[in-house]
Amino acid sequence: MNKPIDDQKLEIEIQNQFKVLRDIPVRDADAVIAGREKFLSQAAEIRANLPVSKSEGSRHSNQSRNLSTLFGLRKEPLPMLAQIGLAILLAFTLLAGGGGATVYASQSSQPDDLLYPVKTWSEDIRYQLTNSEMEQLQLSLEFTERRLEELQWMQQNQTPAEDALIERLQLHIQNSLQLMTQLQLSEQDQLQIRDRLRTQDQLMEQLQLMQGIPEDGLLLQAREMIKLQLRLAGVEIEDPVQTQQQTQQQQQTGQSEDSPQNQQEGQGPLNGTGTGNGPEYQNGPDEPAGVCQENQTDCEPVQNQEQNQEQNQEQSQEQSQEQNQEQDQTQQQNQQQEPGGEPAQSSPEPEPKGGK
Amino acid sequence: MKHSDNAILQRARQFDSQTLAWIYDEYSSAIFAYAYRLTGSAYLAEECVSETFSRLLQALQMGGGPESNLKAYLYRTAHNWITDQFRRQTPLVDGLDDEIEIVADNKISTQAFLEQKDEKKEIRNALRVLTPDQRLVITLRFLEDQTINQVAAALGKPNGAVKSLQHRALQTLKRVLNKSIKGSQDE
Repeated sequence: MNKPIDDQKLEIEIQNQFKVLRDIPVRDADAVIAGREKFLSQAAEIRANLPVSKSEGSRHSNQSRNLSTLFGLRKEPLPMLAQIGLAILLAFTLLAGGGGATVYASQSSQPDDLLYPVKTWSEDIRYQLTNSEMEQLQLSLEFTERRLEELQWMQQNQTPAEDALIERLQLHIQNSLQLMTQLQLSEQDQLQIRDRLRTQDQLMEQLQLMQGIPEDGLLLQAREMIKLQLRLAGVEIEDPVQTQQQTQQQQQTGQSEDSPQNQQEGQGPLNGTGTGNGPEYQNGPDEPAGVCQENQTDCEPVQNQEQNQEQNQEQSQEQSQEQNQEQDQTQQQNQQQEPGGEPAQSSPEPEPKGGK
Repeated sequence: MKHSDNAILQRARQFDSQTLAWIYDEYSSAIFAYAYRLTGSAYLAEECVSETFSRLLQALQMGGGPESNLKAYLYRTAHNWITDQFRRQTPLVDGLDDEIEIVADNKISTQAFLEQKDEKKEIRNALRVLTPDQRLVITLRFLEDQTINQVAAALGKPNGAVKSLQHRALQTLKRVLNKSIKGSQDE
């Protein structure tokens, strides 16, 4: 009963605090004109290059699809396999109709609800029925987010989190961690996964910010696992507040180049991930897993890390081969210089021939 | 309202220059204000406006773009651009010149100006702790005065999800802001 009132109070409080951000400076008239012209010239350029033919969606299609094309009434009947599949699907839908409603209703349940076991059970079934490893990875990430949101909900309601819930969270993270190392992810998948991992890390951070919650070992472990995933995905983990403090310190010591122009060099929207042109193509919540920014010096995507490791191994092998050859040569020289004397001191270690 | 948006979008898809000019004049100031409030820099805000409208054209060219709510789409695109900036760890520019201009307009004392500056920084930092979706909800609700329905359209999520995001974001903001206030008092 008090909760909505508390929320309202908090809303008013935050609204008051945010008042300081309301003032905005008058826009520079030149910048407005330049921006408008740039936009319109870009549009004119696109208009000049528009194709003559209409877009695919607005072209007349000779093949109209309607219900008669289903159930074998169409002129060209469905292939046999598709018909069998359709029949099985229909039967399954009819049988599971009632249960489906329960499962659907359970999806918004919280850990202390009666329907919560149905929710976790349906998640398990979904995971088991998924053949593609990529989809399994997506599911694991989705379930991780769900568990984190449930933990937040429990903490907000001052309900102690059960170990089973955190163990389940760990299981999802473990699954995704395993799949991430196994799969060869496309660039687009990497973008999406990286973004989800960041959201998970932020949710974790918010959980830890909660006051009066004893530090849970299992939870800390789960956070470490998420951080490991982030590292695997090539994401540099930093605290935004801390980062800003650091940069301010740098600014004070005169190390940073803080003019906006300098910051923008090489980091502008066009030089960044570059693929985003609106919410559908976001860089947006949009940032990639395993794909690093051009300017991120200490970030390496998973696949690159593996390649680098291989390269490093090869390099070290080559180096050791070269060292061995040099040692052999010096030994021979010494023997030639001291034909009657003792052989020159050899290295205490056995010589790894070939270095392998 | 939706119908007129659709008519505008239809003409925009044909890259009609008058319609596109109208779109820019109508929405660019709102996008500038939104970006300025989050970044604190007029320069970055102009960059954001330019990139947002450029992305709109690119999306229209690819046959994508908004289907109904143009303003919501623009907010979301601007929001994505700002989130990119935050993630690139670009330090927020300390928009001192812009702030001074506002101070001159409002005629407040130097001390009050400095206090306000710190307060703004704290709030912007607190906003960076939120997830991108939470941040969009909070800024649209409490800085742009949008309704839950409008925010839901911008996010492409149901109203219930927006309320839940807002609730969680408010709790986090409360904790973060309280902490920073306590921290500054201790100092």
